[in-house]
Amino acid sequence: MRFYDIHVHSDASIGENSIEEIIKQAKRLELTGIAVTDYFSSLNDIKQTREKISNIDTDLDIALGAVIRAETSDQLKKMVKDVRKHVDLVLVHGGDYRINREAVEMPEVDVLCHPELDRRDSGMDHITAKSAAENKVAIEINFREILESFKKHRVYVISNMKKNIFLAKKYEAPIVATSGAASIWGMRAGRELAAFAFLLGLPLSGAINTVSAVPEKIIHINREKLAGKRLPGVKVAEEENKGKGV
Amino acid sequence: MEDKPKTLPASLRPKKRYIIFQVISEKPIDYIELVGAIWRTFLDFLGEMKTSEMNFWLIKNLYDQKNQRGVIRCSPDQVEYARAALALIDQIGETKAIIKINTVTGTIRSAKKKYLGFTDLTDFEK
Repeated sequence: MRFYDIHVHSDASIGENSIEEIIKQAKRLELTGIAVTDYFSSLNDIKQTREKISNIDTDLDIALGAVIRAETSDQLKKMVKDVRKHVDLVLVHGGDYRINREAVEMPEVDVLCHPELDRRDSGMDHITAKSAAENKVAIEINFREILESFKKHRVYVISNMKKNIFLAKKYEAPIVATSGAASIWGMRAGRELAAFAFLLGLPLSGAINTVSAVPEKIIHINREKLAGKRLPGVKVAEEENKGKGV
Repeated sequence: MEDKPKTLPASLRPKKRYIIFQVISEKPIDYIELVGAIWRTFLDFLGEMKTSEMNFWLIKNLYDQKNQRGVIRCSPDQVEYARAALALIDQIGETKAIIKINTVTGTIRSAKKKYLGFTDLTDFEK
């Protein structure tokens, strides 16, 4: 089984560990691929991290992602536009309802992270879920939020996540389960993250897809787009004709 | 008459699954601390009721101190709950640690044979 964890912070921003240490831990946890995602302050930082990743010799599939934290929707739009062509994944730091709503309305965004962060409600409604499904923006189950909360707060987090999963399932929006780790001790094996997705209300096969097929597909499509193999409105002929004997 | 109940016939015994886990940690882990951490996470996350339904047992004589591998018994329909509860461990004693589940088996024999490196099975069959 190929497992992906597409939200791991390195020491380029809030993470405690270097990319090498993260890779070592990911191998111990038998992951197929990870996405090093950070809050980058400039395009130069992205280029430096990209270079660092390309210099590492490993068989692990490493993608680069940018987490965007914006205050207003204009700021969000601008930042997404700026980074889109430089990273494999664009994640939006959710929590604020307006930002959540704006993020799922942008097809350029790949993942809406923790829409229920620091909220008493779930941060999503049926309109948000519908837009997420239309624009193929994945809703994230962030493991760090559960791990770093305790007692009453953990209860709120889990119940809000359950509500979001219910909506995403109903409107068939993609869901990804990630560790959201800020240190190597916050990383978990793919099957454990899937167990959480299962507990939050997904069927077991769907839960396993949230850490394998769904993130793998997002990364694959984005890499094709970056390489210029996939353009808006143009389908890839090989995929279409697969299995038809053409 | 014996002073304890007879072993139930096989058809009446509860079904079991054996979770084989490995502890990934900064420093070697003490077994007593591991037991404490596992019980704490089960009781905190799943509560007394769910843990009681789980038929939970940490098998002491199968804990491999050198490789930090061990076996937990639970009921088949609670395996995902056990996985989630074990994933919530991030510290054992003073050491940062992760419990990684290697596999789940249906019998203790296959657990030993395939995953715990017991080549001579006569020892435990006694």
